[in-house]
Amino acid sequence: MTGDTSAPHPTATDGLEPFAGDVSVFFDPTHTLILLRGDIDLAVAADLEDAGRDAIDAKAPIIADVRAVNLIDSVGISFLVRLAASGKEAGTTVSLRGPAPRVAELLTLVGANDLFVWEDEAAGGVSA
Amino acid sequence: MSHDLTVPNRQVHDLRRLAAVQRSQLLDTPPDEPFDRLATLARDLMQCKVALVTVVDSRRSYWKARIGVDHLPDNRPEHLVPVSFSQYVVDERGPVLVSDTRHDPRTRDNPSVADMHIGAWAGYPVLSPDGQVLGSLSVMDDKPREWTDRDREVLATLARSASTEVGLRMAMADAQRAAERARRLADRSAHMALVLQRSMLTQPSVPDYVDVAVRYQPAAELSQVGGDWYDAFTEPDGSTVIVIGDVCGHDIDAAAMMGQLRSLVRGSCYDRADSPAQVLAHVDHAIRGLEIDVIATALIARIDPDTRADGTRMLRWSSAGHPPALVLSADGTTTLLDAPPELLLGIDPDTARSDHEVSLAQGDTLLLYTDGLVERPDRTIVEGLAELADVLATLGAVPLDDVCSSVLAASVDADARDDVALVAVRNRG
Repeated sequence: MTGDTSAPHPTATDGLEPFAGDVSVFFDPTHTLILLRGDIDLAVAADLEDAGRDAIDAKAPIIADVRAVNLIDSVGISFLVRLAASGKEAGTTVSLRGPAPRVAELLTLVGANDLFVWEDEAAGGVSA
Repeated sequence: MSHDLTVPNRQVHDLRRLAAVQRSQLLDTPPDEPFDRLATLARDLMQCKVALVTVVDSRRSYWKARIGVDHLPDNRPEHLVPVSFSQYVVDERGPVLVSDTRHDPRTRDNPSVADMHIGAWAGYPVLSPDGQVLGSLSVMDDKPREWTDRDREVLATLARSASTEVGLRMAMADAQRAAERARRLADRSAHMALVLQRSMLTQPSVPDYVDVAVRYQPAAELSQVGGDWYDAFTEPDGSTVIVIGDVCGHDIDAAAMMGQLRSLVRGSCYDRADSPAQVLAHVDHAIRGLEIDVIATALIARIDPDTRADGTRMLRWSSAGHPPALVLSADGTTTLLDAPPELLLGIDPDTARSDHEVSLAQGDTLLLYTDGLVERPDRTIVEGLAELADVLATLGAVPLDDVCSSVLAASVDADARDDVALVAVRNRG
């Protein structure tokens, strides 16, 4: 599930229709990309834990791309919130790549919206 | 000794070998294409009439694949060990090649030589993955013949293929058994989570100026049992405390964590003058200080025992990232208690928390619930909340228990992904 560093960053809409759920991490000297796709729930809980730890360890700014998230439950939301909190503690910025109205709505509901910076896709973001 | 002493086939009775034969699960099974194909290949390449793949237990040589034996009068696909040829391969633990069965001292007294018209015979061992000889892949000619190097090479290769096939099957059967075991364990774990959850979600005890009704509905899939909880109890000063919460995660860990958090909230609330926001802050500090690995949403509401001059009771509440509660009046008016959301528990103990107040008139109903009630894949939460309010608006004068039943029936599908906890409290005045 952890991608290699040389591959070009896939966009969230590449490839197949959303499947069960997938968590991939791409390391780049300038930032770490966590790509979440499909259903982000208990089925990918272990992958999320690995991804979060690896991304924090990489010490580069973290971008969580949530554009291709289909369903996200409390497991997925708590992952994002934990990631933001750990990033803050480690002095690493954590931003979300959207739009993803469903993710935004849930993060707002749990009072965690202030923990995140939403990177505007149109603005090109860090990887432009 | 009961076995035939004229044939030194004691390997046949080796217990490790017999155990491997058992494990292979090849005895008395229907024909299998891969073994039939190998036997057919052996017959064709050797230009023989008969080819067999056998599995030998302590008593008989079972013909797992049999090519060219249909003409035999007895159509049982096996030979007793003493009249079989595979016994020699098992005994030798290696290939056996007989050029002239009528004269070879190993085979000349074997009645099958005459019965099956065996002139020449060649058999190579079929092995289990742990190297035990299960039986043989063999060919027989009706006349004596010399087995060439090529014959040996071909038979050895085909026997190795048969061994590989056996290994694949056993690995697949092992994998299936492991998957089945994992499934049973997962079922048991999910069931335990449900028992654990149920044991903690007891009937609440509240003072007589309120009525209370509660529901817990597990997700359609047992494995999705989560960490939803409700609680309602009476303080020594007579006030009513109602709690609803949801531990993130859906497994036995979440259910166990829920129990811990529920106790923590109870202990932090009971007989203390703290407001709901102060209780939540205290719980958050305890989570950090006691290193409890949990993230949860929770809403605490406290109802004053004393009525005010206008006959209402004050309800004070605070929410840590929990979906907004609703108040339903007897006339069907619904009010969403939706202050700006504050952070869920387990992230930042120093986060700011606020209390909010609302008046409960006689007959007003407070509804607390977990997100399974308003969260569905096909709509936003805002839409879910609006639907819930619409349903509630028709239930103002309905008995409290029926309010819970109706809300669940209207909002939760039979195949719901998430569990739902619900607590409704009505001010009797």
